[in-house]
Amino acid sequence: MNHQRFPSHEVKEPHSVSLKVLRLSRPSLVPQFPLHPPVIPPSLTSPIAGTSPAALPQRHLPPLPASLAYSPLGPIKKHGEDAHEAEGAGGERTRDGYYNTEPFILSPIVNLPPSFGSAYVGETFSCTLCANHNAPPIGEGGTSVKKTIRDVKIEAEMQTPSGQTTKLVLGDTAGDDNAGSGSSTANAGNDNAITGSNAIGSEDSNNTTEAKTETETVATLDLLPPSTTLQKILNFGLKEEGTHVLGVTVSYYEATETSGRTRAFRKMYQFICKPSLIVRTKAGPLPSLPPVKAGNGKRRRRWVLEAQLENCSEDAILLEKAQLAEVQRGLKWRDCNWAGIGVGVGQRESTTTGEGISQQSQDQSQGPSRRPFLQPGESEQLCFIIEEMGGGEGDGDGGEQEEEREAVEVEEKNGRIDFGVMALAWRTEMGNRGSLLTLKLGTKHVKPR
Amino acid sequence: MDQESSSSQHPKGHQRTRSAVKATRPRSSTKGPLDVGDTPLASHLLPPQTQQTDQQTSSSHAEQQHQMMIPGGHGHQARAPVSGSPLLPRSPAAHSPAPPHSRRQPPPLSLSPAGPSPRMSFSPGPGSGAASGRGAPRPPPDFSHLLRPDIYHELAPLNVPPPFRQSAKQPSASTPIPDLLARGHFRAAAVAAAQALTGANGAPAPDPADHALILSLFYVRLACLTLIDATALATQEVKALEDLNATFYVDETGHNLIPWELRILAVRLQAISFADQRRAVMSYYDLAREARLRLAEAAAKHDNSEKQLWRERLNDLGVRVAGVLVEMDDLKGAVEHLTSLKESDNGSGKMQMARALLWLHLGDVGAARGCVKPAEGSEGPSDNMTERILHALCDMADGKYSEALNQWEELSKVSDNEMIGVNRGVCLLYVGRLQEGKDLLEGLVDSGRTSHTLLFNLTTMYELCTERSRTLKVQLTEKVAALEPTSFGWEKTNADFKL
Repeated sequence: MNHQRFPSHEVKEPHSVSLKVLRLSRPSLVPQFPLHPPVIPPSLTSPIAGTSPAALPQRHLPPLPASLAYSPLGPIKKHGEDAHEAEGAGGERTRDGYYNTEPFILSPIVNLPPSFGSAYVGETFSCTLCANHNAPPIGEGGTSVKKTIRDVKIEAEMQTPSGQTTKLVLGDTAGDDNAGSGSSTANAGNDNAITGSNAIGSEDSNNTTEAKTETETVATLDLLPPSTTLQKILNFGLKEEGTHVLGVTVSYYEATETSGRTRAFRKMYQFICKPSLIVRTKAGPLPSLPPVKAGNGKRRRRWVLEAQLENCSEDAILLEKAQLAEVQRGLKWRDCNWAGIGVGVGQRESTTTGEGISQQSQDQSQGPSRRPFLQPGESEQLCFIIEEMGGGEGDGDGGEQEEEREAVEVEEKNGRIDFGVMALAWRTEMGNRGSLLTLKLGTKHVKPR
Repeated sequence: MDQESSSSQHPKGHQRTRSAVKATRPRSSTKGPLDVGDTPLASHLLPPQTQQTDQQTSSSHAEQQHQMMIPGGHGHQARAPVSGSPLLPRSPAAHSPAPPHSRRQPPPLSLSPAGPSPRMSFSPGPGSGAASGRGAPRPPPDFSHLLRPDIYHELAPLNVPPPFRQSAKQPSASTPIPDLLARGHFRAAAVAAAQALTGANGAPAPDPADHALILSLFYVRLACLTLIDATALATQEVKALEDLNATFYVDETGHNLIPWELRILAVRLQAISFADQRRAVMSYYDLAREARLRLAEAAAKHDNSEKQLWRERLNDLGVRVAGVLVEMDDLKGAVEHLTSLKESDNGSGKMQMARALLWLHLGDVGAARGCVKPAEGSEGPSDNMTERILHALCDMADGKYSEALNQWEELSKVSDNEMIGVNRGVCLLYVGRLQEGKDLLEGLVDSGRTSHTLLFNLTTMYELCTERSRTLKVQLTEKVAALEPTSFGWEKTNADFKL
């Protein structure tokens, strides 16, 4: 059947609602270049130049206010008070000091993100969607009929490089939410693991409360008055490399005095997600340990797991955490890196892998940070030691587990022992978080007992 | 190959290059650092009996007295040679690899014809010339090279929005420079400074020997250029100063006569123009060395105010070095450097805040929180403010924008500081309250604040909240142009409004 689409002149009429988006990466501290004020010889007060007098007395003066990132001046006072009065505050600490860190280059005032920047795997992509009712100004051409916009709906979905499309939860707050992908079930398994490994530092508490109150993937607003905005924020954890497409659909009901119609439009935004850390690992055997008492009587095998992390992004990365997770039962591992001296135990639940790690890795304010700071292109070598528990021993890490240590045999599949995965977490400028889990790491070199 | 083929229209195969067109390297002198410092100019202008030249330029312990002829100056009045600078002579020998301090090219100085040949002891570097100044006073150095019009660029108001250009608040051409600076008319001040230096506005140019006035005007010019975002022009114009450590700039007390603020700015501008920030670090360290010497001299004279001055300048330099390291992206180096600086005694918490901001920039929020801890016997609310500001920033860095917003709101009840207001507005955007954030930032503009950051954030919000952001931005330019000029600045550029 020849189905002819009825051409409607309405399609050409511009929408009354527009959509604007801004990626909400971290705001950045604004740099400043403070300048000392000029010492002006008295002869300069008239343009006629003359020979200057002897050397003027010098004082170390506070910098020119205009060379700072923000003004030390107070607000304009009403009723004739001179704004210049407040200038005396520059450089002196008054009750309303300006808390500027001059002459240091970084100031405490922040800028919104000037551009999209780069998107990296492991980060949370935060973005604000703004549906605006653009009322045409009175007197302009076109219809001067007053329009009422009702029932505005915004929906957003993210298509990942693997082709999967996820409906996104539209909340009210930007935040780090690597698991906040909304109603897609396919990601749920991974989410748990990631949430677990992110639990250290408890930074997501703010976000989880938000997630509970807004679980809808469709944001609606009953009435959108002219020159107002419906603003929503989405957070999406980037897990895959490649081209992502964010599709946003806005629909609204446009009512005039005489009629009304529902209109909708869709906008697509495409961006590329790049890898930020490349992990290369190698496992090798170590001499085995003698068997434990009350164990299974066998010698305990040991391995060393070496890893090289390379920063392949364009930003500098501060490594916060590099640990093993989901370690197989029957194995325990030791962190030989900057976090020092922790012993982790392979347990049944992957989410509790965080326990047993020494306190040092969690205490972040312990003197100057020894965490590795990787410039773009730099690498860091890591090392972990993994050993069999051999069953029945009391663990050196406090032994808070009440369960019995039966003789747990380490599983071997086709001559390969799986250790677990590596959980990495890092920060970039202004605390921007990233995290990732590697694939299962293991070894094929099973040394004979 | 055949020579005939080269003249054909189809040059094919090899062609023999005729020697005449071979590129030749200009003949360079074989003189090295230990040799005589004679400039081509000098040999021109010196009368024959004074041709004997200095023999000891290389030594850095130059306390000997020499019957020294200052070349290039005999009977020759003020104007510097058009072709070049008075400091570096044309001969390539000047660019020998010797370090600058060990060899000095005495510049052509203006001599009074009747004067005896003055003696000059060489001060090889800043701060070491304390023993100099013997004998007849040295004639003042000639700064006419800074009075040439061709080193100053035109500053047309091309990128200034119309409400500013047409405003009644534009200063008149005869406003004195200090008034221009006090009211934030930096572009006008830059133009006025260049005019005062070149004598273009009717008033006579300064006396070339009046270095205090000339250098002060020059500094006003460069500083104002950087303040109106014309730093690129400033990096070109600063080249007229050449090497700020040359003996040309050393006065009879042995100290460098360039104003301190100009030396600081020149370090930054020269580092930009050479695209080498390490130069800035080295230059700041040189200045620090000099500051220490001056501090020691002041201590010997028991001059407390001068001691204080040099101490403050030294602290200032330390922090600036950290800033350069940040610009070079050597954040770890900057952290270590800043940690090594002694906290100044007034306990304002500024250094703690600076260290914390650096940690935030690096990404280590935990270390940033650890930087500002309440001091034992603290000074009360002011330190607390620093701590509270910092915790709010750390919350933003942790992604906890709601909590940060609460803290900024509490802080704004105590202080109507622009930074607190702007940060609060930014947080409002991050928690889905764009309208409120926009209204807040507009309120800040209404109260007279006009920093680049405030305008940038506000125009970004305009772009988010409407299709017709240009209209809003133009309205903003009108609003800002209607504000009273203050020392913080008044005139803006199109870039400030994202136009």
